[in-house]
Amino acid sequence: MTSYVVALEKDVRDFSIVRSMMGDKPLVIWRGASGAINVWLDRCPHRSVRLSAGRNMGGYLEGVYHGWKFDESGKVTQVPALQGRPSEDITATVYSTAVADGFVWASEEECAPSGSAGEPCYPVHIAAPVDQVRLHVDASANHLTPWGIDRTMVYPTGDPVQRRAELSAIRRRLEES
Amino acid sequence: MIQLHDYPLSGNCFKVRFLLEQLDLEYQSILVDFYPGYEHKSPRFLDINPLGQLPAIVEGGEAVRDAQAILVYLATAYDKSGKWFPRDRQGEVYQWLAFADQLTGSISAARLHDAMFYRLDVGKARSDGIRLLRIIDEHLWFAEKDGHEWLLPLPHPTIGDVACFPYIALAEEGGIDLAPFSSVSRWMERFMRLKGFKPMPGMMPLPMPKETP
Amino acid sequence: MNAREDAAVWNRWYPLGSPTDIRRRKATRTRLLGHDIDLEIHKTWISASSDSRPLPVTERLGYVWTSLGTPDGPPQQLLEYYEVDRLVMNIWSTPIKCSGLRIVDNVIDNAHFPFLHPNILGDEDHLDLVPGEASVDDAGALWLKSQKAWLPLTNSVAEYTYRISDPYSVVLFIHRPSTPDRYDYLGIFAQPVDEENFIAHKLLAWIKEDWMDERQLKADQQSISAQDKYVLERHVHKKLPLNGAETSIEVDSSSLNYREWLRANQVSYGAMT
Repeated sequence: MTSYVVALEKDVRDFSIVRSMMGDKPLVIWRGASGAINVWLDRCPHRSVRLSAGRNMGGYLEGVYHGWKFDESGKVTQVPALQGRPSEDITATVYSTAVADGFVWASEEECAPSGSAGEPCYPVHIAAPVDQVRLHVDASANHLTPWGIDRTMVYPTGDPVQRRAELSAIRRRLEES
Repeated sequence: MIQLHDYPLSGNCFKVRFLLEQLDLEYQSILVDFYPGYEHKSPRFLDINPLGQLPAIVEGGEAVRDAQAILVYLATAYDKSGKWFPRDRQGEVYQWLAFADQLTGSISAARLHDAMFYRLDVGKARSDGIRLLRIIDEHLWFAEKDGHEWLLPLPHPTIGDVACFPYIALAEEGGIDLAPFSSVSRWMERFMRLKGFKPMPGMMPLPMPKETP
Repeated sequence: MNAREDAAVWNRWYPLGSPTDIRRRKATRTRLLGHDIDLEIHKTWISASSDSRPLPVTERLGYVWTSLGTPDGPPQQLLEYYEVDRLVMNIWSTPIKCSGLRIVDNVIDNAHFPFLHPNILGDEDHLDLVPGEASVDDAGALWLKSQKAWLPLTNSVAEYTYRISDPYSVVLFIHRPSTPDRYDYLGIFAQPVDEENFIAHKLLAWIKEDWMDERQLKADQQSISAQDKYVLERHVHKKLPLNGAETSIEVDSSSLNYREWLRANQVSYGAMT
């Protein structure tokens, strides 16, 4: 079982949407009115448009194509073309999520942040091994930086193959240091 | 009245429309059939701008060409608040205006290739665009860390932000994925929340929800 | 897949662009169904070939059409296009990064108007939709008749009929309350570049009225298309699902009818099956 760091908690803001990846799976990450962070597959079950192309309205995520409203559990609670009736048998693909050490974690199974599970976890979004990144916690600002150790920029790309190449390059550099 | 030679799908025209509206200036939009009519290369338009580029404005018989130059002109002539083009920070603003020009040469070029059959090296246009996105993302990341929201360390956007916004927001039309640029994405959201912001076709069409509703 | 294996797609006519546009761009090459098409511009006509094999070419509805296969008859017709009191134009030809089947599915769907085209083709205060009746005519074309939706531009309910005679194209009939037996037409003809890319050729043929400004109409129609492009290029599934990859509801009847018609015609190129 693998849990992934998919975002920095600080980056997931109210009324805003974050895109990330878990392996090859595109993610939409949003903070709801409850304050909880939701990590879903970035694909509308209705017409397959990226949910991240829509809006985080606080209490719900709104699909851009047909205005469907998804509540924080992923259920479709309002379909405008059905005069606002729900279609609760249709749901977004929701992933198990946890917040720890300033990271947002997600997993296709039960999410367990490393440290508790001891599994080797590689943050996808930040593209560096999580225990190494932890060294760079900016304690004063209470958040983590997406930077490598020598202030070389650590930018993962959207392309999974390139992302993996970047990830291993960063890991090598960290190991050498 | 100011006449704007305009095309709704031009990011460079968007900048000018946006500032005209922010400054509450009345203007007349004169449509140019950029594609597929190529009217910006027609004799009628070349009289106004020999470079054959949109946008151009004409006021009192005088023409001002080039999106960035028009932003400077309008802010200097009409912005009494001095916010859009702050006098004591002109060097920094010009730096971002020049940066916006490079965005036109890269991301916008890739978009013209993808949507309107422009013949150019799209691989180079995209990689140049990605290099610029990394630079501006890094800049904005540090700006955010210092508590700033815009390209200049001021509590409001300047014409530098206006100049850089549209082609970044339209990057996906040129085949450039914005997902890796998280600071840029947040800056775009802030821009789209500005009072009076009207999305250009190709951007998220509905108003962005306010951070504090 | 190889388009050659899909007879329903291979043996059809496809537009390659308006002759004016091809000449202006001096276009010498395009792609269709995964194959390179060489264009040659002559004084009075344009010819096309694939791997030095000459292809049939004809001009119709303001576009140059060709086929890689052996089509059963000429390209689809819309005789009203040639009526003298009409304003006709090619809105544009623009490449879009998804299957061309997706744009047909988009055009026949009125439920997206309030969200993608707010205050232009719909708004959130008027969500009533009246689905049309679906039928297939003797020539095998799918008709979706008299769909109704609120149109903010005219502050009234508008009525639309759609004709799908080819998998990759749709003609929209806009009902005219003042002349019930005549329509304004928009045609969206996709040139499938490959399974996940197409070029949208958009035709306008409206009965001419005094208020009409050609540049304004073109700009408005391009703007609407650019709004649609925002979602078309953000589909996770670039091809159109004819399997269970997307869930539909009762108001998606047009979409379901189109997908059923594609299945009945055994179309698989550009589709998830």
